[in-house]
Amino acid sequence: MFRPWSHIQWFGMGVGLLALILLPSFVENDEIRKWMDILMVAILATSWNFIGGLTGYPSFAPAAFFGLGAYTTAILMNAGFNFFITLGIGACLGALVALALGVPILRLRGHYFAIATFGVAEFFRELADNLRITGGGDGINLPQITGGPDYFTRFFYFSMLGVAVLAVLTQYFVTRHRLGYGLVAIRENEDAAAMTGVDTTKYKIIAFVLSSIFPAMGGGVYAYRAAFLEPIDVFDVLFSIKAIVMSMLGGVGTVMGPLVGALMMEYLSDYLWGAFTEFHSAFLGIIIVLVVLFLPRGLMAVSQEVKSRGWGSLGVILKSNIQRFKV
Amino acid sequence: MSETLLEGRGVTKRFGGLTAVSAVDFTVQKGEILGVIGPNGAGKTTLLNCITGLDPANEGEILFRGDRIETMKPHAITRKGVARTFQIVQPFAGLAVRENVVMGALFGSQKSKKEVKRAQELADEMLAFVGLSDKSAQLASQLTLAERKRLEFAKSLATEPEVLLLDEVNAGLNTMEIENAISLIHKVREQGVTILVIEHLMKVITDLSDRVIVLHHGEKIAEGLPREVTSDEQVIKAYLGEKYVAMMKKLDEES
Repeated sequence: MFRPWSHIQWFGMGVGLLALILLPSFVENDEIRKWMDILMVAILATSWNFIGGLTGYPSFAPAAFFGLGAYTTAILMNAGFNFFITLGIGACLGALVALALGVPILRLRGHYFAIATFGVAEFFRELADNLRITGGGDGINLPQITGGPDYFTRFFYFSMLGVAVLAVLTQYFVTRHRLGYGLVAIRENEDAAAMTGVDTTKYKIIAFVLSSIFPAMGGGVYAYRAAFLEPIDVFDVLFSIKAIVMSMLGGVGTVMGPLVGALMMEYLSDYLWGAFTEFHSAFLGIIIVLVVLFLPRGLMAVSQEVKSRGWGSLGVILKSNIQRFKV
Repeated sequence: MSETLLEGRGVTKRFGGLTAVSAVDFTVQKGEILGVIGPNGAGKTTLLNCITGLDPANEGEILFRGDRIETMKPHAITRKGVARTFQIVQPFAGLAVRENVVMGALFGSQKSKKEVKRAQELADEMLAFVGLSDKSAQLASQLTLAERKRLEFAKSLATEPEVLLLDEVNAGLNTMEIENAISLIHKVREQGVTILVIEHLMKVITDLSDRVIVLHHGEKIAEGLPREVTSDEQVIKAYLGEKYVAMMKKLDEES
């Protein structure tokens, strides 16, 4: 299931990270911004993987935590806090909310859980819409970052990269230790997991908390960069859906899957936007359906099977995916 | 000399108006194989669910090594050293056979806090013990029923239990597979594991058990050595009906 990365895999990840670190030295600000978006959705997808991919609980809560983190940074920076401290506070707040919500919500399974988490995001949006401290429906301004565009583009890019690295490393270590095994056991058969000694309630809550921390931090970076927040912008269910689809496209329950999925999906959606501006959402929708139909376990799973069985078997693999889906 | 490992006092479980288990007392001595028999619907599986915390009892006490466990959660009971198998096998279907057993090793007994590597070694030992080593890389869902039952065994044993509760391990198996299962149960006992086994096949239970208790409509109607219990009139009535007993009596008198 989860083998520790080999030296070659660590090397590959190191090279990838180095490339991301060096990227701003070689490309224009526009391209840096695009990669910043990719990193942001990679954070969402990787975080969703804790609860949705590993534990098998289809959460629509990423938008809730993203928005929570965004508003935390907005409100606290207006009160004079340092940006990075607001990220930390946002992460803690996200974790606390996940803890408090997890206890009642994680009793639900399947659709019921999905709907409940969806409700959580909507609740926070309503809250932000009506509280004075959030500026209500009028939105809220943040302090402008000082320095030129070259500086702040890089500042936000590296902030996002930092959160993404934190999320991915956390995921790696979780999946290689007891915790990750326990989460997968819950996904595969919750009653059997309890009978083999997994404290299912505790583990589910830990997964939900982990899935809340990094979106909250990403939301904070997003807020400072945007300099202005509206409830509808950040408590947007699209953030949740993107996180889920990207994980599925790449491969749920794997560390690399959400990263691969985020990269492909953002590029694809960028391309579709350029090629078919008017219909681009429709094409995106079709792609989502195709992914669910042909790649329910994601590109990573298919690539592993192709590796062991050869390219000639690609058709068989895709077909068997459909059959599995029917069952 | 003998030491009580597991004990139930007045264990009662009701589902709405139905009393599935009614004030059942039982003891399991260290090292023995206790058989629990009874016709379908007698409350055997419900009793196991009470012991393992899956369906906590409404009344009564359950003690393991003298500690009350009837209000503990299933995972905590497993960690104390009570493992079980399910009549309808419950594998982690999407995982490899070996990973299924690793789960038991990782989360079972807390005597030694195990990390993944040690758990994998223990899992391999258990797979060898039940004879599934050659299947360890296959998905659990690809196994035959008999193999899946052995996987349940390996998974439960990997939790390093002191007492193992077996729920109808032979249901759905053919004669040869049943023989294999029985010899496996004996092998487990030789490792020092105490066993409580649920069966409805009389033949199997008499071969296997040191002692038997009989449940009928949720009540304990007999207890004793297998030989005694199988000739008990009440037990025969429960299994075969009053008519059959009357018929046999008549035949006896005539001859």
